[in-house]
Amino acid sequence: RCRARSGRARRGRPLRWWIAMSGRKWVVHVCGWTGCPWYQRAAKLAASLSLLYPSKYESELHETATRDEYRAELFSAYRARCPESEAAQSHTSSPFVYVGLEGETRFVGGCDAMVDWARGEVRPSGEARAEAGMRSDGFGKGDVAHEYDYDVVVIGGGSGGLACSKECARLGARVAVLDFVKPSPAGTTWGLGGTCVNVGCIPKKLMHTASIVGEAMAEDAAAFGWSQASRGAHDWSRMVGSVQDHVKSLNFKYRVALREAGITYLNKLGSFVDAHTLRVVDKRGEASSVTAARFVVAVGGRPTRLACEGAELAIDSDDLFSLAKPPGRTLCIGGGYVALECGGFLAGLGYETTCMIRSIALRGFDRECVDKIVAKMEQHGVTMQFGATPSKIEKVGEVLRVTDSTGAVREYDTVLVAVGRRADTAGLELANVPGALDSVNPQTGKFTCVDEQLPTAPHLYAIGDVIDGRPELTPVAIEAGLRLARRLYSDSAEPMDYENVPTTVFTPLEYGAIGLTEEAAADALGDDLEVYLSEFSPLEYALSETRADRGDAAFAKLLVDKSANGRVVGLHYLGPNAGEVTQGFAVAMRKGATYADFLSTVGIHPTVAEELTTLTVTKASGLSVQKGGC
Amino acid sequence: MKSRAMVALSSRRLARSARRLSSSPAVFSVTAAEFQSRVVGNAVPVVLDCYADWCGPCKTLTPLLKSAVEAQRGSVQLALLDTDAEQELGMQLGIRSLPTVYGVAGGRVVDTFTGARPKEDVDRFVANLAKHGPPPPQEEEA
Repeated sequence: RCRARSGRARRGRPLRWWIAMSGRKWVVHVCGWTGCPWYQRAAKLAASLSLLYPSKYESELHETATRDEYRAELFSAYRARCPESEAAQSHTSSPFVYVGLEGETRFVGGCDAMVDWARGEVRPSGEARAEAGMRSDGFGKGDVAHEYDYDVVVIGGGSGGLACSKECARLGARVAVLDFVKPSPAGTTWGLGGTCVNVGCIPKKLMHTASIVGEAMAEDAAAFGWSQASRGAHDWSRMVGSVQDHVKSLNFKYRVALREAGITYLNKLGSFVDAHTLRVVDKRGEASSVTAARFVVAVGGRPTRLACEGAELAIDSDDLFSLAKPPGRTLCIGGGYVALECGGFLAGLGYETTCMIRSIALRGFDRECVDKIVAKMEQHGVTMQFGATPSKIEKVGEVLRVTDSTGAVREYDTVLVAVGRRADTAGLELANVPGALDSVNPQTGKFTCVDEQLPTAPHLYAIGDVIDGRPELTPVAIEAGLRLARRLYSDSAEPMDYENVPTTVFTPLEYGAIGLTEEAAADALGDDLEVYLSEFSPLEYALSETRADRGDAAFAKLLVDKSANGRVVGLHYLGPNAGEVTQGFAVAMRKGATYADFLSTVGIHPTVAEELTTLTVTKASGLSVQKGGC
Repeated sequence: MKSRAMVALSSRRLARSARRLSSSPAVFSVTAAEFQSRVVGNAVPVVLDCYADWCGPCKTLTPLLKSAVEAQRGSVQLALLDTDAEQELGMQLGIRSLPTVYGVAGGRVVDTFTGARPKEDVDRFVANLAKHGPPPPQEEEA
């Protein structure tokens, strides 16, 4: 029996229940300032709720241009709208979220609180809702009968595609995987496994390791008593041979794994003919077709090429890791991690290397850390050329002559272009799937997805580098693929969590990071940000005179939100084994670890990682951050 | 009912064909197209060595197989299958790791092992396989 006639909530019934019964709408008020990323998130969430459930929610944004203006409004107006809430009166950060209905208001909190509240709205506790943020595509949990060849066809056999397909098969779906490598402009192809295995993470890390081994021989061996260890010249072909043998063994392992999982592997290039049909073509050009209820697009990306004259003379990362001849004097064009990592290990192997960067290095990363990486690259022997782009590349005999935008002309044996990557969706013929193109970002070719689903073509899903606005990392694609498979073929409703994804850049000075950069944290937190940092020398460097003369050092930085109980919002480490050092801390940050948690954790000695548990000097104090000894 | 002469003739023919097969090269590379005739349908037992160029242990094992087979003087042959070149066949054979070696006699797999093995094990494998073959050619009946 409906008790609510007067429009006031009765005690004992949640306001939500009353709303549902009476058919009235919540107004979700989100107050914040434009440059605050948490305000932007909360605003998007409010808009999404009103789009998903337009009869239940309306969103209203109260946005100020600057943080100061927001704070002024907060103290004078926003808090006053929730007079009965004590939490509202002491709320100091952005955003300030409350829900209202005909004069009644309920304070929700900041962004995190709003996300929790919204989840509860969409998924009432006690009910396992199948779809999370995804729309139903009509095929249920794989239990809906259909006449297609497969329950799901995964297009792309890379990190995301393979993980997703194996999980779908494990959950009982009938699965096929399409994988086909279109040759690079220089003609390079490779086997099953995608970018990471063949032309990305794996060969990169192995070649980076080759460089480190060389460095250890040159700079450390003698001091540690290996007086006979002389470095000598590096054998490029031997290294490439060993790396490629390993890559091929991985291709083989993946083929076996797909077969053992009962997945049909088709080494064919697919394109859509209609909503449920793919035309698939093998390397001999023979065509056939394949149908499926659902598709997961995981085609990843390919290197963006230059547009200047002679662009075809450059190789890219698709070619570098299987290059038959040693690269010689190399020009790496680009400022991202691909260019810097490749330039770094090439120099480490003994090749004269230049990095040509249009504006800044490693855009989007913490600037203080990037400055140290660039300085180290110069020390390492890489010529770092800023403010130039290539205008022309010519082949003169066996050598490449490069004219740049400053007018300088230089000669190289190899030019490597690493100026970015584009999603490989053009050939999919998405126009043949009604609604699909509406979810494609025309600039990048990437998909705009909600919970890895194309909202305008719900039986199409996407994971990995091909989706817009997500970190382009193997473990992200894998985890997203696993969770998507479970949402499609089991009772799970768990969405992918893209927050606090740890990363590492394998430049000569390795860099591990989790969470915000100092710039983003300063924007979001202002005076509530505390920065703890330290510069120190790893014990392993102590014996080498070369390193001492050069001042080789490691660096660690924690970004702390004073207004949130000292929660660590950013972690940065520069130094050896950065990936190994950073990984474990990601678990802590996912659980909301605070600066006090870090400080109260006992370190392991002697390591570099322990420094993260002993940071006490703040940037604000102006004290020296350089450490002497133990 | 066959006459004695005819029995003698057919056994001579068998002996001749066995000799012919054993005098063809004992070690050969096999493709998917030839697989049925040269491995499955071979009158003589065949050691099938499934390898790939990128596989280190394969490089250690193949020479041992070669010398063991050559020591059998024609009663066993060695077929080398490049599983990268013949991926589908490799998958059909259910190969999960490399090297994988099959002993094929009378059209069936009678023995198998995976991974590189020491010389004594390889010699024993090949010698055992030879026992599955036709008896050595007899003297022709008068």
